[in-house]
Amino acid sequence: MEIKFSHVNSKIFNDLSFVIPKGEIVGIYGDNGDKLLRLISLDDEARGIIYFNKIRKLRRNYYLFRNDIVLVERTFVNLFNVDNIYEYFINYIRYKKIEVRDVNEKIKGALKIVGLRLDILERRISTLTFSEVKLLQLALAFLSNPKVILLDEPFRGLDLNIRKKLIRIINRLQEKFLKTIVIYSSNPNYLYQYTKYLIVLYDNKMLVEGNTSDVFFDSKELDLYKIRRPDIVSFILLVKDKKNVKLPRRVDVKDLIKDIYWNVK
Amino acid sequence: MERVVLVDNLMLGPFTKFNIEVPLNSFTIITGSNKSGKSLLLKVIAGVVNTKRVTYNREIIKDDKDIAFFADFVFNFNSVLKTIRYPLECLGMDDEKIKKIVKDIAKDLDITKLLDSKIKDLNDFERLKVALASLLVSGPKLLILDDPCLYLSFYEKEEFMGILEQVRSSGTTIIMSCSSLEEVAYTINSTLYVLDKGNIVSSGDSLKVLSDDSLLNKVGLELPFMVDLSVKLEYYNLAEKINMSPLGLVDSLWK
Repeated sequence: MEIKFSHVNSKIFNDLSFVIPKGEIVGIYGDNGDKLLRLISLDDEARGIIYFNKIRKLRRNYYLFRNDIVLVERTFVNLFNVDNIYEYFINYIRYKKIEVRDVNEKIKGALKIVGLRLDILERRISTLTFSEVKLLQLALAFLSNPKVILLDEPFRGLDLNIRKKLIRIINRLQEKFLKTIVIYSSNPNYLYQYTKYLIVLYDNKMLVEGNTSDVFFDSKELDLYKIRRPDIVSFILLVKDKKNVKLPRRVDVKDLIKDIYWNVK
Repeated sequence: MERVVLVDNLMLGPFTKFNIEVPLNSFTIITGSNKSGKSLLLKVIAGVVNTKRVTYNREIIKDDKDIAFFADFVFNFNSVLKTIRYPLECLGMDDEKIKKIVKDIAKDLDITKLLDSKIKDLNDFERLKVALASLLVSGPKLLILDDPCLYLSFYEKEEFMGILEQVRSSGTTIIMSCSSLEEVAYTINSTLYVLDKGNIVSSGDSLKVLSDDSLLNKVGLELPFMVDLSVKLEYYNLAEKINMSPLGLVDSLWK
């Protein structure tokens, strides 16, 4: 689903205009990026013109998009005060008014996508580890078969292996099911590694948008407002600036090392 | 060196016959992947999980009040001032004394301007500082922090580590866990323990432990960029030690 904001204002933002392309992994970077996710998910009130798949969002057609967009919060909030995971799924389906033919099959499918075992259904939420809670949040999000998935700081607190697993899931969703995925992170390194398109916010306005790599490498606005670049990008730009040596754009440190080796030798 | 806490022969969750000793006035950092047991270990040390395997040095830690434990943002009051004052009020201190202590601690943590604010209006870093202030007012001898940097950005992490270094210099022993290694690089003279499934797989001076990149990657930890770059350049004989300054490293590479 393509999302287009045109001159949108809210309590926090002024005159926001941007396009989230369909079926892409999009990053949001900058102050109050989490609040922007809330605006996109229609949780916060916005004034202005918003299009979902070229259909303008109005007050009376809100129900059309309600279940198409899902926000995965940075921390898990137990909405129903239910500790048993199976019961939580049932409550969630009822609460979100998701139409399902076979509830158990639906839950099984959602757990399968995130790679959680079925026996988790018998466990209690309070006994889950940090990473299991994150995967459970994702599984809940998939129940309504959304077209857009908004992730608020999804990688925070996850170790390398779990993060790779999460990225595999996200990539599969995007490639196979053409979902639009929007990730907000305060860590530019993650956005640089995992997103294709980037929206940078500054002072509650949109500062710059475009291809992630181009924005991080070429955008002069980032320098102007002292916005932190990914470490590897900063290093490559520093080498160019101080030594007039142009290293290729790299994402992985191992590739950068090879470039440095051939250059210095 | 005199020790503050000893965990001896811990048999719980992922831990079997686990031992750890924390010296007085040290800065101990415990890291590891998800499910490695770091949060559980801190709970055991703080006495939140009672295992009877923990021995405190009773000359330093006389009772429970000498241990401060932070695990998550839980505020009982909405006012910042009340949150910080409350532990002192519970001790029955007189008002003048409380005011002075709160003023001093707010100055140290740079939250004087926030004292009249509401907790809900603060950002994560400010909340963390308020939570820390409410722990520090009662002058704990042992400060235990479970992943305090989880919600912080790079700059905030650096500032927070500076604050902790100050706290330590005033005579408090600190034990902290972390899920990323960025904050470790900002500490001075700290001891790092790497946990994996309830076992210590590496320990020692932080920078030394960080230089073993293959081990850390194997347990699921990612090195901070500058450490990772320096360590890998060492393999190619292009760097001699871990260099945290990008400019310094560039100058040493392209002489």
